[in-house]
This record gives sequence, structure tokens and C-alpha cells, in this order.
Amino acid sequence: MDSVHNVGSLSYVSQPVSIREFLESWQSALADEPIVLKRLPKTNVKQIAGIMNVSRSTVQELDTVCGIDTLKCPGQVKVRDDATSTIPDDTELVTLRLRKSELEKRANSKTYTHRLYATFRNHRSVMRTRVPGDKLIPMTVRDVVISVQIYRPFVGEQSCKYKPLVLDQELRVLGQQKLTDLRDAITCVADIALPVEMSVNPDMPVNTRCKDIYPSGFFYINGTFFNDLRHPEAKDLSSVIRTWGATRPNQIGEMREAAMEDTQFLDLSLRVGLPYLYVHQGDCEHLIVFTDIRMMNIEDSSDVSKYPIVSSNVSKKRTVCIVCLLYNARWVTYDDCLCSQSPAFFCDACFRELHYDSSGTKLGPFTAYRFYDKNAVLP
Amino acid sequence: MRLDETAQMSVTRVVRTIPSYLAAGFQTDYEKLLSRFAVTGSVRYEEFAKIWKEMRFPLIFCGRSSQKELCLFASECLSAAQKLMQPLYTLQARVGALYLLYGLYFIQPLDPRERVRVTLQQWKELIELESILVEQQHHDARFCLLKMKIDEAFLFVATTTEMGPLSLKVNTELDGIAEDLKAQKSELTELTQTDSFEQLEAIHNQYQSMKRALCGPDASAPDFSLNVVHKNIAAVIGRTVAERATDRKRTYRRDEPLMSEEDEVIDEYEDERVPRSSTADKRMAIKKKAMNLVPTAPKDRRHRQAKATSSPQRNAKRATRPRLKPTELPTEEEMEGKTTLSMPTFHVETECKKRGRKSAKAKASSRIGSPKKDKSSVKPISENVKSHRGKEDASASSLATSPTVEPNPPKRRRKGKQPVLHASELLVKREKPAKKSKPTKKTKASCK
Repeated sequence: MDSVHNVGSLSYVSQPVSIREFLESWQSALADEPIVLKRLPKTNVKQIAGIMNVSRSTVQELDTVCGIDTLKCPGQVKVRDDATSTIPDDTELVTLRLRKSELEKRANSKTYTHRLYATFRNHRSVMRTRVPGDKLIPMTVRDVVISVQIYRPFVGEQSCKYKPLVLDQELRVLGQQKLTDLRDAITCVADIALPVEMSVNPDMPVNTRCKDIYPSGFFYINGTFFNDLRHPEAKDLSSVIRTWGATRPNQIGEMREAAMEDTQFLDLSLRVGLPYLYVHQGDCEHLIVFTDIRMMNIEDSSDVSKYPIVSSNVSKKRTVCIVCLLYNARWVTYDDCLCSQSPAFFCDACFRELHYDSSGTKLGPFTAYRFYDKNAVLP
Repeated sequence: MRLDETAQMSVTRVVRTIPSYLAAGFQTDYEKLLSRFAVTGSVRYEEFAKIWKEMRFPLIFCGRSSQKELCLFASECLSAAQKLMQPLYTLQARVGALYLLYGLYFIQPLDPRERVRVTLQQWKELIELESILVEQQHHDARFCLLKMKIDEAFLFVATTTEMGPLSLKVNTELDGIAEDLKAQKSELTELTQTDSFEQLEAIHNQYQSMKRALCGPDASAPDFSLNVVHKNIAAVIGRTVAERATDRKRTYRRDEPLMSEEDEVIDEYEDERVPRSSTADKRMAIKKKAMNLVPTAPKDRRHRQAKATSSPQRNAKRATRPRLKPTELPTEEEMEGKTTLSMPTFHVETECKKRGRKSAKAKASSRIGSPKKDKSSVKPISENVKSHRGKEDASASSLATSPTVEPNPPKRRRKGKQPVLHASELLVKREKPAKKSKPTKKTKASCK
């Protein structure tokens, strides 16, 4: 499949990285490192003296000569400072001179600023997932942390070729976790939708969600379909694709199948940056990208049960009712005789006012479903 | 197939580019810092801290308007500093880079701090550096490295950057070079400015020593049969590049008067100067060349010299407007003569349209322009040949008189660089005013 996509020519895709190999090579490389478990706000003289094999007084002297205080200078930005701190005039640094003109440019042009911030939107910020209670683990037994980006699905029949790629969720998983852990952490409104047409009786009590009826799903990673077959009713959604692929072995290459619940991330060999696929609910197709593979750091939570950690949830513009343009949409109608567009979105009050008479009888033909706005219903 | 399409689509997606490089100018700054440190010739931390404080380096994080931007900037800085610790540099330079990294890491105003990304290869190099520091008893440098290790400043990663179809791509055009410093930038200067030569030399030295080792333990030079590469390849390439650069500079200078003259003319009409790309310049030059290829009238019809115009139709219309006063004519003619030397008239046209008023120059040019309707100005090709000869004759005859007939310079013209008029043209201009009125009427008539 790599040859179909011409993966080698893409600047944002790495060579395949075997995660188990990555972990083992780092563990062996860090084996000689002194196990530093205690981090104190001030220099730990005793510890450093032990590692450097010098006397404590030498370390104390080094601390006064080379300590962090020697770097400080008046006027520097502090951690909790207002980020837009002023730029001093009397400086010889070229960076600051250019920075000043850059800020002026932003102040003068709204378009430029808007474009600039749009590019920052998907970039991560520094993040501490560690909480004070978490215990410290030595370097040699630490796990791999993998950052995963989930993109918004391409819906229905519409041409997805020219639609922009929109980030939906960012997660961090551990190497020892199963692929199913990632699957359970991915939130999508297609899973919680109600699979019933409700135009006859909008108050009909429905307890089953789409996820309960259609629990199947798969990841497609490096030529392998990882099917989620935990549920007894789950089907192998990939079988159609595999039979199709078998007829074109030269173009597509081999297509394998594996169980999602049996596979750890450590068993995978990933290309960092290459979009893979997650399919659920039959045709809800999300692209997933593994953006980073790294060893666990001191800022990461060492509590395995917390993973997968959602590192960012990109917010989406909410869908509003087309009548009042005020409240969130709760209903979606198709082929609505009372409305010129299909699909049309309504809030609860407007929907009932428009489509039903006082006795609750349907006025004209239309089909109606419950609508779930991702921002309103999912965390 | 849907699945296939989806994946294909994602692959063709364009990686976003930051409009302007976030760490612009940082390279200049750290190079200055490290070169000052290199001058001291020591690896002591005190020396570094002194320069660091003199330059007030911690201020580099000022003026970042958002947290995300600050993160991006910090990671750019750290990766730049980390690259300087490669083993191909001297120990002094590597220790300087280590101090820079130490300083940047601990001074960044972020909590938690942005980490330094190291791959396995880079980590091994770092450990190697540490062992050298231990061996040579550089306690201060080792202390700095140890402090970073204790703070877990290093992030052990698989790839040097985070990757993905939406990942930010650094705008490499402005990579670290301050905008006002990159006056003349070419591929060659980039090549010489980067460390590629040093790298090449280091690799070449390794190669040579390996070849020597092949010959035996006592061999002073590699075997003759192994001489397939020039001995001082880096020096040779460097010299060639330098020669080429000087050549290029010379060519650039030859072009310069042409460009500056053009710029000057534009300056007259545009109060605010719009920076133009080099492509635009080239196009302008080509157009100018093409526009100036107008048949020259023979000597006896020199009062009807055809002028380069881009839109004869419109010019003809303008010519009908009876605004020109006869008294204004001489100076306008002179102006016209000069400006067509350096610039096609279409530029004047567009300017006129923009400002909504007719400049005298445009009127003048249109009047003597060569509209197709104006039968008198259309000449057979055979006349062109003659006209050239005629022009030569005229220039020869007027040479003696030319210094005395300096035309009045137009008011808006700058003093410095006036294009030198050819003697023949001076002659033409002197005689023009006298016969001015006739062609005007004719054009009027022809337009009607």
C-alpha cells in the first residue's frame, strides 16, 4: 500500500519505527544512567557529588559559579508573566528587533494575524499530566508514550477530496496498551446516535445507541486490518476490502488481518506522521496519525490506568437551530416539506412548534432523527 | 474505493507553513554569542556567563504573544542549540553549545519546560561528550549537563520533530536569517554560510585516515591507487564557489544601473514604494526591451518619431482632448523623450487610470504615439533601414553642437542619475516644437 501512496516522497512521514525495538534500544542506552529519583527545588549536592565523584564543597562551589541564578538578567520574562510583555529598546539582539517589526505587522493586519493563529491552532502546548501523587519510576522500566491524532470523519457521499483535514482529538497512549484501549478512548457522535426514525413520535423512549447495535470497527495500520471482535455481534468489516484487495495483489500488496484486542502498540511498526485509518459504524472513517513516539518523561503521569490521556480536544463550531438561530440543534430532518433544505437542523422547541399541531400530529411528510452536536454532548 | 480514496486524499494534503519564521534572527544572535565565546578560547562557564549577561540573552523570550507561540519558539531554539553539539565541531564549540542549551533550557518562561528532543544517535554523541568532559576534568561543563539530566531536560524520541499532515512546517526561506541582513541571498552564499564545508572536510579527513590505515600502520600517505578524490577537496570546492560568487557579483553590478534607473522612474510616480519581486523586475526589463523596438523615422520625418506605447487606441482618444497648451509643449517633449528611454509608456497609462487624472506625460506620449489609425506614422519596413542610417548621420552632424543644447530638466526628475541623451535625440527634440501643431490636428482628423 505504501507504493500506492508514494509514501517515500512525503516530507512529514518517517521510516517505519518498530516500537518494541525503540523501547529496548533506549532502555539499554539508559541503563548506565544514574537513577535520579529525587528532584529537589535546589541542587541536590550530595547526589551530584556522588555522581561526579568529587567532594561536596566542590559541588557547592560549582553551584554558585554555574547555577541557574548566574543566567538570570533583569527584565527577563517570568513563567507566569503576561505573555505580551514589552520588548526593551536598548538591546542588541536581532531576534528582538525582528520580533518588534513582526508584532507591528500583526497589529496592522488582521488578516495576517488570523492566518497566523490558524496555523497555531493544531499545535500542542507544553502539558503536564503528572500529578503530585504519582510515583517516580526509574528510566530503565519506563514505557513508550505515543501521541495519536484523530481527525474528523468524512461524512456520507460528499466528495472528501477537497475537504480540509480537521483535527478532532489528540491522545497519548502507552506502548504496553492494547489497540482496543485507544478505540474505546476515541469519541465520535456516530457511536451515541439513536438509530430510530422519530418523526411519528418524537417522545419515543429509545435506550439503544448505535454503538450497541453496531459494535464492529477496525484500524488499518501498515497493511493489517485490526478488527475489534470483543463483542459477540461484532463483524469483520474489513472482509469486503480484503476480498477486493486479493484481486489486485500487485497494486495493493498483501492485506493481513489481526485481532485488535490481542495487539499491543509494542507489536506494531509505525510510520510517524503517516495517516492510518479507523473505521466504525460501517462507514464512519477517521484518519489517525501517530505524531510522536518517545520515552516517558518526568512530566508524564506514571499511572497506567490514566492512559489513554486526552491531550487536546479541538472544539468545533456548534450547529444552531435554523429557525431561532439561538439554541443548539437537537433534531435533524430530511426531505422536509416545511423546509427548503435537507438536512435541516432544529432546536427542540422550534422543531415541535413547526412540525406538529396541538394534538401532536405530524404536519406533512418528513423524516426526523435526534441530532447530537459533538461539542454539546461529548466531553 | 472509499478507503483508498480517503487515504490518498490525506496523502496529497499540503503541510501548513508558518507565514513568517518564528525564530527569525535567533541564528544571528546565537552565532554572535558563540563566536564571542570562541574568541576567549576557554571552556570555562564564567566566560560564557559573562558574554551571556553582556548580551542580555534571557530577553530573547520577550514579546511572544501566546503560550503556543512561546512553546514553538522555545523548541526551535533548543533544537538549534542542540544541533551545534555534533561531534564534527571542536570541543570548545561543543561546550559553548552545551552552555547555550543549558541557558536556554533553564531560562525559558514555561512551566513545564519545553524539553530537548534527542534521538538515540544524538544521545550517544552526548554521552561521548560527557565522557570527554570527565576525562579532561571540565567540572563546570559536566555540572551543567548533569543538572539538565537531573531535571530530565532530554526527551528520548524516535524522530527529531513531531510529524503529521497538519504539523507546522518551518518557513525555511527565512530560516534564521534576519530579513534586513539577507540583502543578497543566493544558493551559493547559503552553501558557504552553512557548515557543509566543515562537515565535508571532517568526512574527508576520516576517509583519508582510513585509506592510510589500509596501507599499513606506518604509512604516511595512502596508496597511490586509492587516489580517486582530490586531496583537499573541501578547499577546492570552496575556492570554486568563491570564484563563482565574485563572478556573480560582477554580473549583478553590470545590471545595476539598468535596474536603478528603472526604479527611479517608478519612484517619480509612486509616492510609496512597493517592493517588487525579482521576477517582476525581469519581466519589466523584457517588456521594456520589446517596447523600445519601434521603427525609427527617417531624417526627413523625424518630427513623427514613433514611440513605444502599449495601448494605441486609448492614446489616440486622449489625443483628441484639447487640453494641451502650445507653450507647454517643449518641456513635455523633452520629458517624453527621456522617459521612453527607460520605461514603457504603459506604466504611465496605468498610473493615470489609477489617479483619475491625466498626467502631462501621458498626453504627450499619446499625441506622438503610433496609433494604428494614424496613417502617417505607419511606415514600411524598408524605411526602417534607411532611418537607422539617417540617425547615424544626424548624430555625427550634431556632435559638435550637443553640449550647448542642454534641455531643461523636468521638475520632478531627480538630480542624481539622469540618463545621458544621445546627440541625435537632442537634435530631434530641438526641432520638434516648431512642427508640433500639425500632427495633432491630423490625429484629430483621423480619429473622427
